[in-house]
Amino acid sequence: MEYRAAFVVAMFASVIETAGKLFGVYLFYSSGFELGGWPWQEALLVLGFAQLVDAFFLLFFVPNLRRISEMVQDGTLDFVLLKPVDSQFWVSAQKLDPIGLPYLLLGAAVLGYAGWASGLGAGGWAWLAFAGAGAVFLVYALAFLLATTSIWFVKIFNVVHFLSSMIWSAQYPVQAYARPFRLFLTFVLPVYFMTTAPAELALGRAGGGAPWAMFLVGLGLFAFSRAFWRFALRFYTSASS
Amino acid sequence: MAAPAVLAEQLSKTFRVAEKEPGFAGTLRHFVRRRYRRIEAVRGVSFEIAPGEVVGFLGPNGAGKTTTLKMLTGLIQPSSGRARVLGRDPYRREAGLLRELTLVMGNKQQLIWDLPVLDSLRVNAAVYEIPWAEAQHRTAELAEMLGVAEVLRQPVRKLSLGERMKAELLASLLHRPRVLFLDEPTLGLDVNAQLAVRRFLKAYRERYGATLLLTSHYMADIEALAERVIVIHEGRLLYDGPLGGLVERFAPFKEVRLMLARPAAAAAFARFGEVEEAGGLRVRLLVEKDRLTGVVAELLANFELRDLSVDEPPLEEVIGRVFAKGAV
Amino acid sequence: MLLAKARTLLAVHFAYMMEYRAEIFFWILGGLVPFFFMAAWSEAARQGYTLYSPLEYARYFFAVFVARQLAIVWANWTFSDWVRTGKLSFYLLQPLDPMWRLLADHVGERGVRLPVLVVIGGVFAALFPGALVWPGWGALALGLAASTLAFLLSFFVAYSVGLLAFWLEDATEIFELWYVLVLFFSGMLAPLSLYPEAVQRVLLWTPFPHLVYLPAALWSGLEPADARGFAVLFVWTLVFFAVSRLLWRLGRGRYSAMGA
Repeated sequence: MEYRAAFVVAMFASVIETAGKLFGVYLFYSSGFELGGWPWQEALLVLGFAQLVDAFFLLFFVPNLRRISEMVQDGTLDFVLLKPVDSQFWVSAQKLDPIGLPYLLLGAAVLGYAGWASGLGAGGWAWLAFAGAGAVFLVYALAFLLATTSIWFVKIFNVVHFLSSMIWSAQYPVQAYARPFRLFLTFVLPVYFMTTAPAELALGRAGGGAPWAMFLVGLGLFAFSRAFWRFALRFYTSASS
Repeated sequence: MAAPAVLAEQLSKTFRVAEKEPGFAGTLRHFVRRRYRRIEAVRGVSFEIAPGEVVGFLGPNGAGKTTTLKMLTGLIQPSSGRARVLGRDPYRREAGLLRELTLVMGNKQQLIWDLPVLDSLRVNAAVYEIPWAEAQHRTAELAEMLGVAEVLRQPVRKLSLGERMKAELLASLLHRPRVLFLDEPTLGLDVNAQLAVRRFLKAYRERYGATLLLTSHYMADIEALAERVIVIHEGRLLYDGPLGGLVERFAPFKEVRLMLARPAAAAAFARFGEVEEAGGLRVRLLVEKDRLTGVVAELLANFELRDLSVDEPPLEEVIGRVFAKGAV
Repeated sequence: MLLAKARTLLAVHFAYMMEYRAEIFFWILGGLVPFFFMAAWSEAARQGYTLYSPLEYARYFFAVFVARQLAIVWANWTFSDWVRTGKLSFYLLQPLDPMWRLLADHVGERGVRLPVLVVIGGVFAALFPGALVWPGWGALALGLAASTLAFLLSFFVAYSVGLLAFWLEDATEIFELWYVLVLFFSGMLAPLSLYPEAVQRVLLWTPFPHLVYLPAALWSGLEPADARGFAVLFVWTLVFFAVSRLLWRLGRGRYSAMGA
């Protein structure tokens, strides 16, 4: 009655969360305000991406990243280091948590509806898929980066909480926020690249070239996460007694 | 007869463990339908320990020793049977009883990792309602007996394993419990630390008249401290009596040690008994007691010996045989 | 002796939390969510679309931030950790209900968090001049009372979820559900006065609005706060306190003390 109970609860939680987010958007648009000047159908695209990324986070990242922290605490990280397979991959690919599935389905539903309502052509849909993959990749790198800190910090849920909050702030197009926040969420926290950029790419609004940068940012973060992981492992092995 | 300090009456514990196959298919199947296994960890174990006794608790890994200790200290609920310490049910966690007992688990710890030992002691003193002045006095006394007075101000993570274990003991005994349950207290310690712990436990028991029930894989611990042993195997009580009697019952052997004048092959000794060591100048044999005289006579007749001695067999050997034999 | 126990527990847990300063920093960063909503709403307000002015939104969401920070709990994580690793065994051996340790853990952490909140408040006041307005001693005190009750309720909910670790392998999802409900119905998304009337009336009887909206409204002076909220909070706190005691009694029999 264990995972199953959690799964049922996750179904409820995901429905409430999706409904709540949609209600939030509704609250804005019903008063006449357009989030960042985007029509509501397109704003939903951003919301869908945010949910998608969140679902992947729950599905793949959280269970595996939690394990890093546990392995550090138990000292079993040593065994991972002895494995011939790349340690970062091994640590991150082990477990799948079905709890993320309802969120994934609902996110896909929102994306699908938003894409249809925004009148995406075949090219748009292709971009949606491609950019979605890019967003997931970016979040993976970010998540792994933060999870690596568990080698120093014992409790990882602070970090998971932090990343969840970031993803949460990504549910509105970044232009909806006042200017200083917009800048913060682009240059300090890569929130813009997580959801707004993919939506812009799908909608064919890649004008200034800014949305393309999401792939660069993703690759950059990935490279950094690998370097940081290696650094952390060196620190770990030299510090363990 | 005075009331027993520790009473176990037909104690049993059965665990229900979910079975899951590894891999993705296994996860899916496990998700859809659960399968359970029943593990009978302890089956109808009964014994009584009088106040002031020191009892060794022996058994191979997984025999049910730790589970029994956990039932006796109220950590887990028995599936059936009764556990009583000082006449009360430990599972009820009455403060009065908890102040009289302690459980020390080797290489597991209760001390707060990042803070100095003294901070953990402060918490313990507060929890057990020991006035701080009195607690400091006891700390000093115990620290002296254990030899850890200098490390108390250091964070626990900076201590060596031996120091940590001694600090753990100190923390566990701050409230001067009358009944001590010790689960592998010397596990992983170097020889000196082991000796120190043994000496300390002896001294503590003598000073405060405590009752001890301890498990250990190191026979030296048992031999040094316990007059009586209880043996558990596969959840059942196998033997309860004096240590010497254990040898009598299960392993009526003697160890014969020889120092040869000339090396001889191991095979030459096979017919006399079990060969533990041979091939050079030293030979060690396990010989059945009934055959002892005959064997010694033959050895003296057939080999040129520099030295010959007859001893009790090493306890590890005896215990090994006890478990190998299984149920009596 | 009880006072001595409490004082010692708190002092030691405070020291313990100081060791985890960096992590608490991350935790506070994660709590910045209200500021994002604030950003969106004040932008909407700036363009003249909604009920309140940008400054009022800023004031409200800052109060939401503080209210939320004071009510954050993690007892479910800690307790299920204790059950899984067997650490609970050590606490069972001592004559103190583990619930007090959990509580001391949280209260000790608040002590560490408070100075950081003051600093954030200072930064906020500098960035948004005129946003922070002194609510008056009465409103401040009432808000703190509401906030304390909100903390206790959240604590007992989290502890109850943590106690489910005796039965379930992973109960964090249940707490996620609680968190999601809090997120949408406590006034974190937007001031509840913006929600449809019917929804507001139903929500009044649930604990959610009072967890954040009650103290936030008191501190920001947005709307006169509903005193019934105190009663609702109090009753729900008692309910979950009882639930946690029941789960403790029932759950202990299932503890297998593995891992230790």
